[in-house]
Amino acid sequence: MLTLAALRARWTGLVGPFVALCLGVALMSMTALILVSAQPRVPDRYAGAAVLVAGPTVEGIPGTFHERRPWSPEQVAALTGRLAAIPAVTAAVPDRSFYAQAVLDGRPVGEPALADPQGHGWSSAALAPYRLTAGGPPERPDEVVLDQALGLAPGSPVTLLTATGPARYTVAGTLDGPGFYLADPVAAPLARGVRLIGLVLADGADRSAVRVAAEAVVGRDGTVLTGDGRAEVEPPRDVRTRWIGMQVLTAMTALAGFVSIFLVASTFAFGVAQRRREFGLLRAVGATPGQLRRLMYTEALTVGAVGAAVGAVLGTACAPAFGAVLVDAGFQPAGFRVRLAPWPPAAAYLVGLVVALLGVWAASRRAGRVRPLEALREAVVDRRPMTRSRWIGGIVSTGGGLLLTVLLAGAGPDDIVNYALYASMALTAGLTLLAPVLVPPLTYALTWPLERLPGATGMLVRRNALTAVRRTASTSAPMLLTVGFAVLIAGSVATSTGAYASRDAGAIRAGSVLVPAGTPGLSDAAVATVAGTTLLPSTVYAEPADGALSGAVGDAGCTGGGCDRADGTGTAGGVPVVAAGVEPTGFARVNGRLDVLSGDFAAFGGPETTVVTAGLAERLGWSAGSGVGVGYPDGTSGIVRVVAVVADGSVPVEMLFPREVIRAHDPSALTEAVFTAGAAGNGNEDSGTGNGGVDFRAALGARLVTVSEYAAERDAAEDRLVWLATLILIAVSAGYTAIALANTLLMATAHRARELLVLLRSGATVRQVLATVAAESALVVAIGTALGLLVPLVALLAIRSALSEQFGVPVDVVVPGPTIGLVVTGCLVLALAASVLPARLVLRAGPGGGGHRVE
Amino acid sequence: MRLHEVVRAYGDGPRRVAALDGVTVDFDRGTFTAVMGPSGSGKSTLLHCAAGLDRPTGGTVTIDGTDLGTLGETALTLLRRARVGFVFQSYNLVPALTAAQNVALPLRLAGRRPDPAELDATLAEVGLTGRGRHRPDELSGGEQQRVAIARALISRPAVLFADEPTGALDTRTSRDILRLLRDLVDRHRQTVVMVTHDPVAAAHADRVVLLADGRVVDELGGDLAAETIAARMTRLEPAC
Repeated sequence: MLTLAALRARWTGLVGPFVALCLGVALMSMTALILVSAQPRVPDRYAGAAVLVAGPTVEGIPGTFHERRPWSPEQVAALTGRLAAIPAVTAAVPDRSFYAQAVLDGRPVGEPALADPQGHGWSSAALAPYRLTAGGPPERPDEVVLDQALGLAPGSPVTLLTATGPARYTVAGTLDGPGFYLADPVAAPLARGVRLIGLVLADGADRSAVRVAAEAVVGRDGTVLTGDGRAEVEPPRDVRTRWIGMQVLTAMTALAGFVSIFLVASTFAFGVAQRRREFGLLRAVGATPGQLRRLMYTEALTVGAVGAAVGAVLGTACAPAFGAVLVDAGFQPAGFRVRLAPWPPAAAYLVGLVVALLGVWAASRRAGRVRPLEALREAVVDRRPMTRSRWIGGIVSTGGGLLLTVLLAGAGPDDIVNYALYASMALTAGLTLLAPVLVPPLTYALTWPLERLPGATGMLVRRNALTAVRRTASTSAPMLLTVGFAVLIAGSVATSTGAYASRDAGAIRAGSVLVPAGTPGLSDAAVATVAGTTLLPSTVYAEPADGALSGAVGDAGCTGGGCDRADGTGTAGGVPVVAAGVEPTGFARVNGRLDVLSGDFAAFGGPETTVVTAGLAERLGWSAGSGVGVGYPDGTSGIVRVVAVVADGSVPVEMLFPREVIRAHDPSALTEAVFTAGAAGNGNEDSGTGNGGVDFRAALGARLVTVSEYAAERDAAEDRLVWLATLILIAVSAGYTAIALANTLLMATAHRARELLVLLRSGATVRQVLATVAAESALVVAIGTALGLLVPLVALLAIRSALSEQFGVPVDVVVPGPTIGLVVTGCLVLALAASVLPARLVLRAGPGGGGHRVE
Repeated sequence: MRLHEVVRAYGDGPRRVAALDGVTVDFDRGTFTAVMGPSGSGKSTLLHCAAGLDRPTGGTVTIDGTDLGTLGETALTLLRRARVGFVFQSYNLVPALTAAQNVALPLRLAGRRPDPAELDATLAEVGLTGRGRHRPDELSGGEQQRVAIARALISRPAVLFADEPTGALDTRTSRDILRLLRDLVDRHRQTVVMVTHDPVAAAHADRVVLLADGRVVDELGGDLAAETIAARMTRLEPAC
């Protein structure tokens, strides 16, 4: 009875927690549904093979995604022969793939990922469920079978771009799936190392028997995958996309959870502060402290149960649409579908209830401590705004936040964002708890000029805010959170992207840069169009020196002694290393940041020499002068000598090889960029249009840009994702706290009806009272903004020192002025609406209205 | 009901103020006592301490043989709920609840389901038959005070405390409320302790305890006339 009556009477105070819990649970339901739906899928290209044999797995740094290690050509031949000999296996097909792209109307079409090449040998078509829709298989060296979606009929000519350059082919047939299939003898020299052998089984073959037999053949040289397990060989790009998506979603949900708890806690705490008289009265007529605590829990649970239920339904209903949005935004791989299941929303619902209970915990304790006599007091002056638990909580949170900030200053690139978020959460909570201490001096300072004004408004605003410290603290808390998070998120992103760009631009001493356009990289033909030094990225596989990296690589398999690492036959395929082929002298000339720590860069150049970064050398136990075992992308391996160790970040990759070495071992590799000596766009520069005005560079999928354009564009795709994530996070936190701000102000104003009427009765005009209310709201926004700026400033300074330590360049803190302006303006408008409008309603009754009817 | 050497002081050291400074007083069963005194004499504090709403800093308060000082917050509340009724000057009804719900509140807080007949009887006793469904803001001041008295009576308390119960009411309504209290004493042997500054109100009591500066300075008994009380009060005034 009491709870229901209270709920009915106090709906204004419960709208905030309701909306917060509803949205929070909706977000959590969506995220949970997407999380369970975001499972790897068997790539279509392998869906036709019942059993896949994949190469050895590799051990990369967490957060990086690598394909399996390729086998050597000899191993491929041996494995294929023995796998084909297994009974019921009709064919064992090594998957030979290479970069290929069609050029239509003078432009390359589509943009395949480097790690998901579209060119294959015709035999690989047997692994896919695709069927020939016209024509026949490629038989002559210049024949190709391609996707019918390109609209080319058998017999028509087509230009294909491969790593060597464009070449003319004739369409032999069309398929109902993607890809370009050449005759196997033509494909083999173009292809990169074989990482996968597909087994085609006879009808009715026993899959598990084949699996066992295949495992016996492969041993430690790879993994046998069947059924859904085949999803493991999906392109790393999809894995990465999904991983980024999950990072964003998790951060968003964590933020939503935190903000929900914060909001529920602050509104209920505020409610208790306002209801002291009511609670005192209940205590006076015989309610025990426990009963008041239970009353609060019941209120929170009721609001939580309804809000969370609405949220769970809402989240489930919106999940499919949200999934589609995520695919469009690039946070989920194409083809992602949300599968609806009952338990994720159910779990989110329970979390919502827990959040409601956590939020009300402190408030209920406070309610239980209300003394019966407080029913008799008109407590407007906060006598004890700080309780002991508030002191402890505030100091612990602030201390924890500062500690995290110190850790943040020394954090690695992957941890910066997480540390910054957690540090800010702790600092925000701490500052909010300590707000009653911080608010009076701040108010004193901010309102000092007001009292010197001739009118009454200034004095009233100042005195009201100073007297009701806790109310001012409570109402400005959401503002603190909004400004804090918006500035932090926008500022940290702007600061770090600025740092990355200045690192990149400062590093390049070149006139102009040839970059890919519509292709994942430059073919050799495109590279040949300009004179300059090139960067040819690829992946090699390193064998760590003995003793280093214990546990990371399959040491367990080598404990018996006699483990020959050089031929790469471990349970794990070594450590993937991002490498690049360069022309040593040209590279040294172009790279302004080259910083040789030990060894001699000039010795770099022979086929068996390499340059590594200090980080990689430390990770693998290498040093200048050591001979190290390296697995090449074609599956072969060899020993190279480390001639120099350079500082991290002074080269764009971890390991440098002479360009010819990478080209020889990775026929499918594409050049990332060509740095020319001359300046771009001057009159003497080749405009890029040859005879007849045809843009031959565009046909080769290349384009010439300035160095700064190159540096800015390099991470453009990455930046877009980061900015999208930033916007989502800001929207979530700002949206939430806007609810809180409006809610607390609405509660505060509604509760102050009597006080406002007193002003009216003292001779103030309605306009004056409203001006006072508006000025007070503006003051609350100002105090919240001032406190809110403290949090991100501390965190941003820490991020700056972390970044400048990493890159060795000075990094400027970027304070996102427009974002702050937008957030503060939005909050101000909302705050004014949430306080002036209810005040108008109260005042409409006139000086005689309100209050109790007295005979 | 007995108070022994009760002290209630606020603050420490030189700023210490004793609102009650060693008060010893008994309230016998079935009596109507008025506590009077000038402003600041400690009469409200006396009532709060006696009712267990406030804790004395010295001395003992005993209700039906139980020393309130030995009880924890919850135990004290339970005892108060069962043995003490309190009526405030400003009614203090829960605005969201109807009159009947307000009256039933102490029973519900005690986990009991109120018997509708008992509820009606209590409302009838205070003269509010048929007004149970109204909310406080739909009732007059006198009616609201009757609801408050009914709420204090519903648990059949040992003592009913009333703090200036007529303070906010006009003369006629005040007289009705005082007659109601007198009636409770005469018909149900209810113990009533009332704080007032109004000699006319005090004249309804059996006994008047006069307080000044936190001490009992006089007691008047027998057949009390408002004039006598007023005269005695006037003599007290200069003392503070």
